[in-house]
Amino acid sequence: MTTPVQDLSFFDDIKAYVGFTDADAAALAGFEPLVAPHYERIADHFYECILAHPKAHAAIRGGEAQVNRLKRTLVDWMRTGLLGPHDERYYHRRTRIGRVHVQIDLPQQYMLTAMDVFRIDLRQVVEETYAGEAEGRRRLNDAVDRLLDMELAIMLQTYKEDSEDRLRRKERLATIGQLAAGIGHDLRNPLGVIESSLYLLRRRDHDEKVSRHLEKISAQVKICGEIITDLMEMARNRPPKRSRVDVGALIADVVASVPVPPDVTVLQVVDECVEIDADPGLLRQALANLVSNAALALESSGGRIRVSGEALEREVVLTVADDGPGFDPATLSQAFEPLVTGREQGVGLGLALVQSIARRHGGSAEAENRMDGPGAVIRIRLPRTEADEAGAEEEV
Amino acid sequence: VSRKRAVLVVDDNVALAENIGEILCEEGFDAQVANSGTEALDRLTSGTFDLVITDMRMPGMDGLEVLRAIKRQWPVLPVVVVTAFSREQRIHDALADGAVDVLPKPVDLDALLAVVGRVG
Repeated sequence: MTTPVQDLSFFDDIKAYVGFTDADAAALAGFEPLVAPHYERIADHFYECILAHPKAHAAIRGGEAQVNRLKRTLVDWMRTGLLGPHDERYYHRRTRIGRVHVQIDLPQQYMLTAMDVFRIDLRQVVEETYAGEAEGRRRLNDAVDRLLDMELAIMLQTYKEDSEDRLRRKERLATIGQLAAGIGHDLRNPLGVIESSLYLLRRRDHDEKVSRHLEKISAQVKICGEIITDLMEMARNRPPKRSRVDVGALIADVVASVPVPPDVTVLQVVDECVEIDADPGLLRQALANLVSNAALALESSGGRIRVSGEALEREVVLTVADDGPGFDPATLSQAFEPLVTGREQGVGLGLALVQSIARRHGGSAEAENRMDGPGAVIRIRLPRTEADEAGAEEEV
Repeated sequence: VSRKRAVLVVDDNVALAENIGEILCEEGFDAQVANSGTEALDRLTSGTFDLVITDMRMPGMDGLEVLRAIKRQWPVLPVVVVTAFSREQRIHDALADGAVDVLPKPVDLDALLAVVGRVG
């Protein structure tokens, strides 16, 4: 017998393998109200086991507050798992959990062991609820097993994909780093000669054409210098030196220093008194890269750049949006990969550096195309203080 | 008439050393260049200087060694070190060994002139 498995999505494939049917989904949905009173107890037990185990505990760095948030997430996970619908949307939401596990460096074996803690608790509820009904008990236990096995399969699969991505990226960055440090040093010297020659020439009177071209050369040399600075910064990958940063002042400073074409307007929108514990130099470099990218996207068309800073409960979100052509859908998913660029002229370091700076602060960077028209949006999410860092990760 | 202040520019990059020398000459200094640490020490032995500007990274004697050799022989001669090393330890070493100032590379020429004007 042949089965056309090639056309099945990953989720449909594992569903087919464990034999998860609509009847299982219906049994679980019917069971949900009976489990609901036990959610809190099961979540408590689940985290008790994790916290009792040093190597698993290590992945949770945010203390009791984080555990309480995680418990709420787990209750939600149980509810939505039992209720379904177990469709592709469900699958995509579930994949994020595997990713979070990679982010927090949870060793893979604890996904299996933790799932068993959960399975045993759930079975116990089944036993209690269906004490006298062997058939109902068996049906429900089967459905629970199938569901949890699917959850595990999804978790492990996304975990694997994400770890591989991480490794590839790390290797790539290490190679770039070695190259960058060498090339950067070597290019600094000739650039220094050009700069000092320009310095000598610019002090003399020239006709308009010579002056104009000297200014052009000077501006381009400055850009070269910035590319080298980015390269070296990538290579150094230094940890942030944090101090209190006034986000409004930082944005104003960056906007004032990055040249934009005359038909481009830059709008600054900042909540009142947004402050963050961050490395001002690194943050400035990240934002300058984003504004400079947006300005390049609008070079031929003109348009608007919106730079905003917004304070949420535990994080600050810096957003740079433009109404240029936006990301090519083909490059969007790789927007932060080093050496990937959507521009004809461009090394593809800017966004990689932005992401690296965000990550070094315990934050993240996101890229998307605008919903309300053409244009690109880049968001940097940063924990407000170092103490918020651990808490920011489990928001799935 | 007081003599021009004499500055020795030490950099293994010949063109860069020449340019910095030329800028200093335009600013009214008597600037000379040396393209290695040993050449710098030879020139210092045969002439009189008021200030040395040396690059950090050079083949043979590096800037720190030049600085230390100068401090042994001419303890009061001011030395400015220019470095692309952003590592704080190197900057700290240079200052501890008696550099009057450490300037980052790429050199901001206005900043360099300001330092030279102050100590030269």
